[in-house]
Amino acid sequence: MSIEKHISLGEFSGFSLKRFLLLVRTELVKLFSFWLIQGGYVALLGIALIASYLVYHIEQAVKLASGSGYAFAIGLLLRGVDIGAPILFLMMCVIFSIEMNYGTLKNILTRSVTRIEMMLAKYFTAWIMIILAIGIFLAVGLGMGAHYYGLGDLTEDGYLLFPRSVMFKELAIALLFLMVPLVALSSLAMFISSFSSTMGGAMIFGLIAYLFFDLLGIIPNNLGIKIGEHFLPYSAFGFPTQRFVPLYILDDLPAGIPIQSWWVWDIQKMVIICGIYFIIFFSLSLVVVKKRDFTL
Amino acid sequence: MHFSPSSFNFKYKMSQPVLEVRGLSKRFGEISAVANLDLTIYPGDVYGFIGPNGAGKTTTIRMILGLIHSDAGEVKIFGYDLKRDYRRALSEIGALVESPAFYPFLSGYRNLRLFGDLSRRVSRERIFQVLELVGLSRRAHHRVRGYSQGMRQRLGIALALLHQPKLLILDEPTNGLDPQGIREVRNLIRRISQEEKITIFLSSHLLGEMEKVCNRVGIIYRGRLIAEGDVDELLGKEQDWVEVQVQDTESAQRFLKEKFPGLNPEIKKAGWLEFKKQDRDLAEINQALVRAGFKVFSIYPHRRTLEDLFVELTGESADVY
Repeated sequence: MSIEKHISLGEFSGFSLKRFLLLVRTELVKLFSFWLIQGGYVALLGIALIASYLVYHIEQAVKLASGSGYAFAIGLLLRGVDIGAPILFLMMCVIFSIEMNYGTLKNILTRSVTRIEMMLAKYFTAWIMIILAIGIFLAVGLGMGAHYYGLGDLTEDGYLLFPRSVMFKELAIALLFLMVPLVALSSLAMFISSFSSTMGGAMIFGLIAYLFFDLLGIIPNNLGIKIGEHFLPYSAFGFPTQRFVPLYILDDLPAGIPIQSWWVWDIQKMVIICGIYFIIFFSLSLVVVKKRDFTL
Repeated sequence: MHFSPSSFNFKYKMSQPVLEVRGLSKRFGEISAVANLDLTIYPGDVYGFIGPNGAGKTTTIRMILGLIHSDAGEVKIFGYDLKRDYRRALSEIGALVESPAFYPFLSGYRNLRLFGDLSRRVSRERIFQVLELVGLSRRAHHRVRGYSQGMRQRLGIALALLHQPKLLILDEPTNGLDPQGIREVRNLIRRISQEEKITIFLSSHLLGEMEKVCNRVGIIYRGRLIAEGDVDELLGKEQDWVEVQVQDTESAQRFLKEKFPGLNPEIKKAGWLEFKKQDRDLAEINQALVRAGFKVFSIYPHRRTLEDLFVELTGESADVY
């Protein structure tokens, strides 16, 4: 690489994948040694276990049975992600704000790690945290489902509704789509915490922002406000609620309704809405961190 | 009064600067924190960056390390421009900026491992080597939460040294330490300079401490560099003075003026004469006074300190510290 090219690349010069992965590993080691993140995952596990207990006993009470461990896992995911998402969001607020809270950002940036490189590693870490959180619900759902019903085909009165291979495939696709709103949430968490000086501040403002965007799509409709809704549905603003879209589509499966296509308008809308929010918050978080003076 | 780099020793002129700062400026709203600052640090220097609290030392260091953006000026580290070649510029620097920062829920060893790996892979042996150097090897696996301020400060220095940098930047390394801790850090800096053979850029408002460890200093006052140079040159032997407690002060004053032309002793307080030393032999002066029948009670040679120089340059009282 010529000197001129090296200079013009500036921020990205000398980028190496090995170094990036090392940064991610550092993030993971640090975060998973921190009680707040450990506590967050314990809470998610607790929610998954309690929810599975409740789902099963409610099913028993109303004499409805999932019939298949996969169907049970789908029911658990639908309820568990609803409560788990804000907890996961708060955990993601910690990823950047922990450095501001303890002043350790200066240790990272003075070790010739660029700001953009650091932020990308933090985003990557957030996505790993999302996968792990979903993994907890999936593991508990399938584990408890296997315990209660076994992981067999979905049948009703001896008739085969869906073989287990279909149940597993549809569940996997739903989880992939579930990643989309959660990734968009990670950008909101990172954006909020890029302004923060403390972890507490990032989490409080993060929670306010989360609730704001969560309610934004609901309030005008509930108040009967219809202005401009045929141009832009209010639900478009409430992007955290988009997490229900793939789960609701998946929820048809245990009822015996086959999923003809995943690439339906609701999913497309979810991808567009979450994509726009992600691009906005992702870009803003990078700009804020790049421009900010760190007087730690 | 400004001491230009042209007065440096020959060895300095021959080597490329480790750190070059030219025209660095930073404003925070209406306040000019640093204004048109120039600094030059050469290989092997223990450079003291001194000034009172709020003079702009930490702001300058933060700009040198890229933690805050400068409004104007350029920083070159080992010849690499900080803005254009950030990674290379910082790759040979170890820094401790203001208070040391660590994850309190991790051990000292674990903190060093995590941050150390970001520069370049460090071995377990190297981690224990620096922990040994700062006297923390026995507490290596204890959580930082339980460390005292002095221990954290030393761990901060260990972190800065971990990847064997060629330039060590220490911002107020004795902050918050008791006299014993200050002495330990001072000795540590001397040891690092001698054993690790690295250039050290040290900021502090403790002028006495800086005089003891630095060979060159830059004095910053209200965001501007008002003096920079070799400590011996700045303090200058010609500035050394002597106090003599002698009987019959006025007669002794007349006697010395006649006997040693150009000496010009003054009576600053009753019973005491004071004059510039000017490389004169004090034994000879003492002998002349005694032979002339004057009783000499005591002779105190004085050397100008950085504090004296600072007061002289700024007109401020030294008690601003």
